[in-house]
Amino acid sequence: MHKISSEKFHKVLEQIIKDNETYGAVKKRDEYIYDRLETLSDLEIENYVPTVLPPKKYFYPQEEDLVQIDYKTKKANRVIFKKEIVLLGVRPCDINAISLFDRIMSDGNPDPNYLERRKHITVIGFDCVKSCWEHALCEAVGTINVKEGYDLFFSEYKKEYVIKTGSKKGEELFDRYIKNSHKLSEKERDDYHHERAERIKKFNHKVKYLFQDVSSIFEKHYDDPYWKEIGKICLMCGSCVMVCPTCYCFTMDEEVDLKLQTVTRKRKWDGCMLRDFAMVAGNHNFRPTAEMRLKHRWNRKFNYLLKKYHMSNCVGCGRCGFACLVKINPIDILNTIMGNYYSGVKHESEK
Amino acid sequence: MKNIYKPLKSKIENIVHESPGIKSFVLKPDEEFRFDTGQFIELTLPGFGEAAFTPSSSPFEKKRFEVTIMKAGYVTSLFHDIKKGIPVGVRGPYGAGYPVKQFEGKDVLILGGGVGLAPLRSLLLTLVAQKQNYKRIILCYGAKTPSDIIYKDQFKDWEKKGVQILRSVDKPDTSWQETVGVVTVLLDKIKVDTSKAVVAVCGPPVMMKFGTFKLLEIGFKPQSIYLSMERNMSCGVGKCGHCAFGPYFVCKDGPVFTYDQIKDFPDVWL
Repeated sequence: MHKISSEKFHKVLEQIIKDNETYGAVKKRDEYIYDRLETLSDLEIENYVPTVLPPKKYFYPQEEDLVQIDYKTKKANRVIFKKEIVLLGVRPCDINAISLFDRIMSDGNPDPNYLERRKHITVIGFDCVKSCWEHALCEAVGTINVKEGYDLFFSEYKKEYVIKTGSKKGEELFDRYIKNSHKLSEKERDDYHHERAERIKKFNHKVKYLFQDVSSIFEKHYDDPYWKEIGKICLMCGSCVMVCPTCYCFTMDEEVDLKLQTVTRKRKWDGCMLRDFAMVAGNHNFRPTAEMRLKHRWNRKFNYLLKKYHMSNCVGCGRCGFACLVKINPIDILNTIMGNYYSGVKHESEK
Repeated sequence: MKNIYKPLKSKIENIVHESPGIKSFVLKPDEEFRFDTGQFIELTLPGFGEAAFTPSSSPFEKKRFEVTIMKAGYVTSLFHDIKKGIPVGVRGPYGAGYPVKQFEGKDVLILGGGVGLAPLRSLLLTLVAQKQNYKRIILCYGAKTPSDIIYKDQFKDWEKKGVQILRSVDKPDTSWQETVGVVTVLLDKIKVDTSKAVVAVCGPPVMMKFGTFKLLEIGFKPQSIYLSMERNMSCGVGKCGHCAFGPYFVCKDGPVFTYDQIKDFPDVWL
């Protein structure tokens, strides 16, 4: 662990932006989006709030070509879009989401498009010194800390910046851009961790119950009455899915060009909250109601995938709660269902 | 890295009309194609779309295979409109099929409804080819009407090869001499020692549900009931999320599950 002065921190970022095709959080009207950075002044550092879409859009675009088929010969060729880019100022929630994506996409049948593109993307993270907005729950689900998924990570510490490297690429970046830096002594290190822990104490802390028991509670309270309640108001618009940094479901579509020469198989974002997601031929829908879809989505975040990957699949950014038109959000979901469990509210099957 | 989304070019060699609304397609892929009985494939009509089907032919045939398609949605309707010779794309095979090794030395009961006989025919042909390994092979098959029965001319042949066959229809015509009623009524007519038997079930969701309940009632253990589950399998490789079934993906962990594996899941029957 090393540290550099605030002045040097800004110079390093300036140089990174100059040398690379860099993207980061930029203010657009009243909200923030990930966009191309021309100079450091484009980047929001101090007053960051989660961007409308997470940086997922660079790893896993809304729409991408997978295979091209020659319409005449029917010969199929793979297509992989990739570009050397740097993402600057990625926050811990999104870094955890990237790390989850890396694991999900390399699991079982590795996804060549994602993994190939991923190699060309550099992730430079910034720590959060304060809670970004009222929708966030990173401190509750444990995603305020980062273990992997980044190359370089900057964390403010007494008006200076502590630097962590998270990969070989990160070490190379460190050697290239940072060179002279002060190595933290053991005492400074302890003090940094202590100070960081102290500032996290001032975050939202809106989730009232211990998060570690969530999957067993979600399992036991699968039929909790709260699902019916929010199922009644959910508009099934899919906004929560589209803004989620860990939602990775997709659909495949085939498009033919106007000259009838090429068929392109495309991958597009899809979401389990949408009406026809689980529908099969003959219009049989395996998850016909909003209630069932909500249950499914949140069980994936807090139960099924949590158990599989040993970390919360909701990274607590709060984007879904902000995007939801009827204010369904993970803080209320956790508090209500865990609350019902602890207060002994009976669920459907027990009645 | 293997490209999991790229299809293998195949030709439609023959089309068989099985019933009004159901056709079988004989496909010849450009390369040798191996699958285990019960595994499924993704079939593409280039430029239109892709859908999941389970081969209905014997896995011992490596050069060509068959799928039986009911006209039910967008892609399946297009398949009903095409002619022989058209090139299509095949991905797969995917998922876990029937663990036929575990059926050895036992009575194997096959319970099928409607077009659900398609994957079961592949199983049946697999079993028949090595029938000395199994005690008995019993097929119980139900369809709506006699004309809705698929593989009409093949039952005789299977019977000759030692398969005990019982059939029922919901609505008989004047020439129908076999059982009338839903397929589960056939289960009352057979005698099996359920402790030394396994059963494979495939059919429409409602038939799977009541079929399983009936099988449990006559004494089958949940771990001896093999269900071929239907969900919207889209990518086939456990990525796209469409076929998520509780903590499982039907495409990767199934499509064949024992009832024991899934019985505690919410929303098993829908």
